[in-house]
Amino acid sequence: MINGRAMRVCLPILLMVVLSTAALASVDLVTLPTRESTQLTIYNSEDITMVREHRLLTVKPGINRIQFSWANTLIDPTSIDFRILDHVDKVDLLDTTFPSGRNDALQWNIKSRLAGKVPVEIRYFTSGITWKADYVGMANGDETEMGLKGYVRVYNNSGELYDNAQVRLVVGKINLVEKIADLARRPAPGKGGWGYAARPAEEREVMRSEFKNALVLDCAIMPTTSAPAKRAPKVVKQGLSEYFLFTIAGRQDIKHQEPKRLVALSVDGVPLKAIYKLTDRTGGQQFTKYFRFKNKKLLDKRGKEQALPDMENLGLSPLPDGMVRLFSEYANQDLAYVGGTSTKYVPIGDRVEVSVGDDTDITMIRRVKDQGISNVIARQYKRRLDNKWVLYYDLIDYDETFVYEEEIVSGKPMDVEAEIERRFDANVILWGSEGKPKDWNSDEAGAYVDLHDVESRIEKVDQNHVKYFLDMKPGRKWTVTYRVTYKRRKVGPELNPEKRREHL
Amino acid sequence: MKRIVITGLVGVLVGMLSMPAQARIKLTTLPERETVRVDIKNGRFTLVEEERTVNLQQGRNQVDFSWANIGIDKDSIVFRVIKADGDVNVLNTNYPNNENALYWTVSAAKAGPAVIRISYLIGNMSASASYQGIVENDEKSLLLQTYMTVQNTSGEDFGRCTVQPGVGKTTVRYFKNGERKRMLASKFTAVPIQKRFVFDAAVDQKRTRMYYRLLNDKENNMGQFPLPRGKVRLFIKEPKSDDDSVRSQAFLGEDWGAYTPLFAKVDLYVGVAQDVKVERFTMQPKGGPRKVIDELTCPRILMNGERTVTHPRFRHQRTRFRYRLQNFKTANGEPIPVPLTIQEHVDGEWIIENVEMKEILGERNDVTEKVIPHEKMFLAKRIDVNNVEFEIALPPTTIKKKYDLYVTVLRKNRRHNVEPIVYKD
Repeated sequence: MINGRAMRVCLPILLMVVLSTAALASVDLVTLPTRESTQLTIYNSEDITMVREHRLLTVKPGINRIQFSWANTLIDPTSIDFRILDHVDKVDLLDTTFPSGRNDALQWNIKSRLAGKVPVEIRYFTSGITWKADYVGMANGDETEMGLKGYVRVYNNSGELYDNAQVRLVVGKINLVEKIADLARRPAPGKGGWGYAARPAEEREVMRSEFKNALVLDCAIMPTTSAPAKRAPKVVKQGLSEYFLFTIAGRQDIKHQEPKRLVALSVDGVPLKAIYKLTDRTGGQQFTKYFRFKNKKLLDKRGKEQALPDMENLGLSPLPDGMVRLFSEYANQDLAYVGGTSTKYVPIGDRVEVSVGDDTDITMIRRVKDQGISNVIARQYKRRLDNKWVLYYDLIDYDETFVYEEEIVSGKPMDVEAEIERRFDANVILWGSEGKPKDWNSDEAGAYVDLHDVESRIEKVDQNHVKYFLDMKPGRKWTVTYRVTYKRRKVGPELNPEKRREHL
Repeated sequence: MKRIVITGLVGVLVGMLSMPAQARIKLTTLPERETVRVDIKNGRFTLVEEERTVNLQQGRNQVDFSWANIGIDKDSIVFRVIKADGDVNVLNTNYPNNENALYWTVSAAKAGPAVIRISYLIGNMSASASYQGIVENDEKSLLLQTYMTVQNTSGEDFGRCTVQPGVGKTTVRYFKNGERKRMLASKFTAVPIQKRFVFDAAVDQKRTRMYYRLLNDKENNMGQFPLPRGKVRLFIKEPKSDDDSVRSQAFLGEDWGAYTPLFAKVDLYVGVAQDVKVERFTMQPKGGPRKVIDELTCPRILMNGERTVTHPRFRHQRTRFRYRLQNFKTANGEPIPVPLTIQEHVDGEWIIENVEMKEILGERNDVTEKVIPHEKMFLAKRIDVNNVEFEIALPPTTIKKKYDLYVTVLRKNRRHNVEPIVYKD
């Protein structure tokens, strides 16, 4: 059995220069071209990696047939592409032929008008290699600054060894209409089995030995693995369409089931702000703490951008989505684990808001201080029924008022910024910081929310949600009182005892 | 053994025509196929045309045609004489019982070689299209290559043949049974790209999608044929770096390209534009809840000719959307504007009643809103009765500077079953 770990990503390429046009009759020469370089471009939004190999093919004038096989791998056969990089006016790719019943081998037919070496690129997609970002943040005691380290971790579960490869990571969400792993496992159309697994035992034996031989040769001509790195490799970041490309400098060995973690970012003195939010969207009982920082270039004390190396600054590339673990450092350098959460992609210039979980230091008690029903009116309506007017049920209009008191206490030793968002079960007419609305005295149905006494800006988020902001000092209790009147209209007939329906 | 065999039995056949099928004499010398053309343009059937040279004797000749393990439509076989010295006519076609064979009785005015062409339909061959786009680094244009993959499971090994996969150029190949061949069918260079940032809450409520739009016409360096449906894989050229002598390409994304007639456009969803953020909220109409519905009245003419006024069962409905727009897109480290398209889906009779663009400055308690002129940065495009697009030239934004776009849609004359209720005095 083939040991997957021993397999190379550079699959054996058998070059058969066929001097006559009879396809089956002549296999004159088998050579193994030198692999010049390998490049892996790994995506994090989908299970896809683009592998790019450069090789030098020796061609002769006439039709050259090159066989490429990839048994027992997760390569998408539809993605395999062959590019001639030089002498393009003298060397043409005629077609790509997939043999009968196989999805793990193909043959390129090349027409050449020269004899010699031609550089080519073989490109394909494979599955099983992914990468993720993760961050470790170390906040100072008063939570105003943070040291941030960003890592990228490459996972290889493809069963293959990629050594001495250039590794590039793509930040962004690409669109894939079919999974690469599915395409790799899809049987060949038509009759017969496909791939290595479906072959008879004796045929598999032959394939294995051929593959092994090719592998030995391949290894022999490979340059030795690069010397161990003396310091952490640099990550070069570059924008590309809607994505960002992180290129890890130098060459890496990406081994099967041995995740590799590299530092992508190490920034000190990131300005940090803690913010506390309470919203009815998540129950409206408890505050959640968020750390906010900006993905912007760091400023010095005079407000000018600092000249820092790329790896030690923010705002030069987006921050990929990933897990964030946050710690606080006390004066005696003891650490406290604050919390961990996943964060979304953060564009350059945007703000990161990382939830660090519920915070019990700030409490909210909400009381219904008063409630009442007023302006109850029963109106009788008529409607046409079978060409006659009939009395409709009496329908009731009434106004229901609630007075709320929210008591917010901060047990924090520092100033705190809090946001409270409330939901009302009707279209909101808001009397807030912008003054009394024109339709405040309207008779239409709705939730008439009076928050104008609150010392804050009031924001109407949508037609049901209202938000207010508090800047809280330590050791002070805040009491917010507001009133909402639900104007209920045409309610009934359950509120109508008579429930009459008669001809006029 | 899968084969198509053609034999020429020459000579006077007076008695032979009445012979039973088993007794037919087969010749061992077979005329070689000289040319074979395989045409897969029709999706269901594949047309095969082959030319052979048969030596005919003066008088009546029998030309045999038989096959095995290949699905030939017997009734589709056409025999034509392309070149002969003197008149050659097909007198009749004979179908031996229970055999995959037929023979033609051919009369020749003179003895000598004749080039004949036999055309027939077979099944089990298919062709599918796929595309590869190589996008320039500035995303202004691309090289679009059409590949046709032809699958031969017909049972027949075609030797040297001409394959017409449906689009693009014709290619000569050896094509064995069971093989698939992927061939470059066409190449369109410098095809202009329209890059679009599209937000459609019906498709994705949280993310803006990036599309490439291509036009299949001559002005845009295409327009040679309708593009068949197929998967489009897009790669982008990277800026040339020092340690990479050949310019690298990165995979951008893929999408199904729909069948695209000439002069039509094809939209390819490439990936998510995470730097362009849109949030959509449903707001109350200006003027409060009473403005959600406009009740209508219409004249009513009574039997006696008297004119009164009544409420028909139609009314206008008003919806107001707020879009919070943020653009963090950069190029070479500098913020840049983007063309954003917001798609909304409506129906029936409607108008865009009101548009308002606000600039939001500041955060939390220090927020100021300012209505700004929107005429130069906003355009509402009626696509059809069900679709409207808002095109916005969105300037760069920051954490402390955002835009809110308010659009009021008035959907007119909606039927409803609620009879207007009137108060009894």
